[in-house]
Amino acid sequence: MKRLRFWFEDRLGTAPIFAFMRKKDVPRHKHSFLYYTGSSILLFLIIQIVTGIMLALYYKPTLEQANASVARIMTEIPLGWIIRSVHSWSASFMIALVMIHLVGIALVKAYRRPREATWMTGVLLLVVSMLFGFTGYLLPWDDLSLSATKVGTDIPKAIPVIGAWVTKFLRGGDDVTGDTLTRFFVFHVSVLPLVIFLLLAVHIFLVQKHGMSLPLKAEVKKARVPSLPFWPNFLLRESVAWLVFFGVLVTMAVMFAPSLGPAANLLAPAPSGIKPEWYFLFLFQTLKIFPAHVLFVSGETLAVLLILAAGIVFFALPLIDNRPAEKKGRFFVGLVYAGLIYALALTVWSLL
Amino acid sequence: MRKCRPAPILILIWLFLVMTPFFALCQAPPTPGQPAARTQAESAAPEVLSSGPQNIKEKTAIGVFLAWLWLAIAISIYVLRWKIQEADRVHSTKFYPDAEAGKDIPGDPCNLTEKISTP
Amino acid sequence: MNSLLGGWLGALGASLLSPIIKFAFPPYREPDEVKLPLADYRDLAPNTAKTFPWGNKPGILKKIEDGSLQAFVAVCSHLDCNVAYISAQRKFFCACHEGWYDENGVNIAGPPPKPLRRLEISVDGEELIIRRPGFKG
Repeated sequence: MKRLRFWFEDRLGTAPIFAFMRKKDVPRHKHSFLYYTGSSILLFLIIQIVTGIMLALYYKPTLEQANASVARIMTEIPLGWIIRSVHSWSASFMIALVMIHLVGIALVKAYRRPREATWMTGVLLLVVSMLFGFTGYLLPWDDLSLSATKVGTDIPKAIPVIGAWVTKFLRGGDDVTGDTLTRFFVFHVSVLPLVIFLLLAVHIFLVQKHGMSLPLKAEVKKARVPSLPFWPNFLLRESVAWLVFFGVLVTMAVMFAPSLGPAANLLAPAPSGIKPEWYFLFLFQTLKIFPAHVLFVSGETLAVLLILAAGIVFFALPLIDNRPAEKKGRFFVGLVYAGLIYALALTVWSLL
Repeated sequence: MRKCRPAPILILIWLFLVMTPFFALCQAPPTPGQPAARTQAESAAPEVLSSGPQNIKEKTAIGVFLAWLWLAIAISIYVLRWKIQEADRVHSTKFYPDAEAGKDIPGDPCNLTEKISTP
Repeated sequence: MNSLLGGWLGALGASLLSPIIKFAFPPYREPDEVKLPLADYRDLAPNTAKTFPWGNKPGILKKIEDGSLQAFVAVCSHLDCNVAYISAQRKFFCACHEGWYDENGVNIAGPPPKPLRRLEISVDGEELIIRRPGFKG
């Protein structure tokens, strides 16, 4: 075994990588648990890729066969229901972890110089993850997913100038049809994976380049923070987290497997109780609370523009919060907390 | 004197356990009025197809699998903790020469590792 | 200790591998028997053939001179192409590599190594029942 390892090390020149991993340090302080979130997201992404490929072996992305192929996976294919359930749950877990990761970093201000680009790629990764969820949601092609997609692809129409064009591109036409399904399938299995791999490569490279960030107070006081080598100490600790996450995922997937509604009828009215996946609920509720018209502007347009503006502020947070150690910095911590409370409150409200 | 803080993993586990019932709520079938029944491939009546173990044999198999999974995870974590202690011990003796000088001894505020007294 | 950890993680991985493998290999077997409406095959002229579905494979029903039917699995024993019955020559022909079988499905020319598989036929009222040899419904 050792000879095989040395053969690869000699040909591929991997020795510097291991030396780097041994040299790389992970600081230990009261917010160290945030360092575990990044690799856990990777764990769930890998699970998504594996279960996604397995599902794609039997899924048929056409209007006539989509729902039936998912039903076949759930009933005829051995343990197909577990694979589908794991895929569905892992998506939720991954997006939840991405949000925890992002909020945690925003609160400890790990986005400050020189990690602005890392933050920005991270925000884009959140957007791509949510797009993964949005495109995947349509694929079973049941009544609920059809209605949710109709609403979701209708929202960009509220953006002035380019809105109608964006909706038409997403739907492959004016309405949600079989073309939309095929288009979403291609986005879900081809386009978005390529985008996420590219963004991840840049993101992970930047994380390694800049090293792990220190708490703001420690940096300001130039204090020496105790640290742990990444290899093998921190990685072993991460392995414990991965094992637990994996166990929780499989347990939830087995005990709360998702169901499948009947095949979508393009002409039928929307079913009652229609709602998007949980990570869109706060946006969904935001749209609902705006009245139909505010002065001379449509309420929906205003809501969409406000959400876009908030998104842009979030994306450019490192550039706006350029004095993190001062009062301005504390204001932005408050803003992040306010945003978090808003999102949680609206999510709970939408479920009532 | 550093206080012993709960292991960071516990915080993440707690966060997840708190959030998972919330996820389960969101996973409720879309049409609660209709009975959830297992159907064959072509079915004229619109029914929600539920998944999961259908009989006692399958339920037992699933239960056994989950028990085995958690047992294997628990044993793996037990062995991993040994390895973590060993790795921390090795690091505290500054075994690797390419570790930067002047870095603090990581130690372990929760006393999970034994301190090796230096002569 | 490394082998202890590796062993347990390996066992965990192996327990997950089995469901994945089962998933990737769909559980399809050929049917044991197939029921067809007799009316569809009653009016076949002697020395003519008609296809029927044998699970996912094609089957051929051929009427012989005395009015009875023969059933074959119409899959070439060489490399699984579908064969056709050529009435004029009273032979089965596989176009992929020019394999020939006689009117009883026995391989006579070209690459096929074995005869065509025969199936048993019985009639039950208005139904034609085609069974794999040895299956007693």
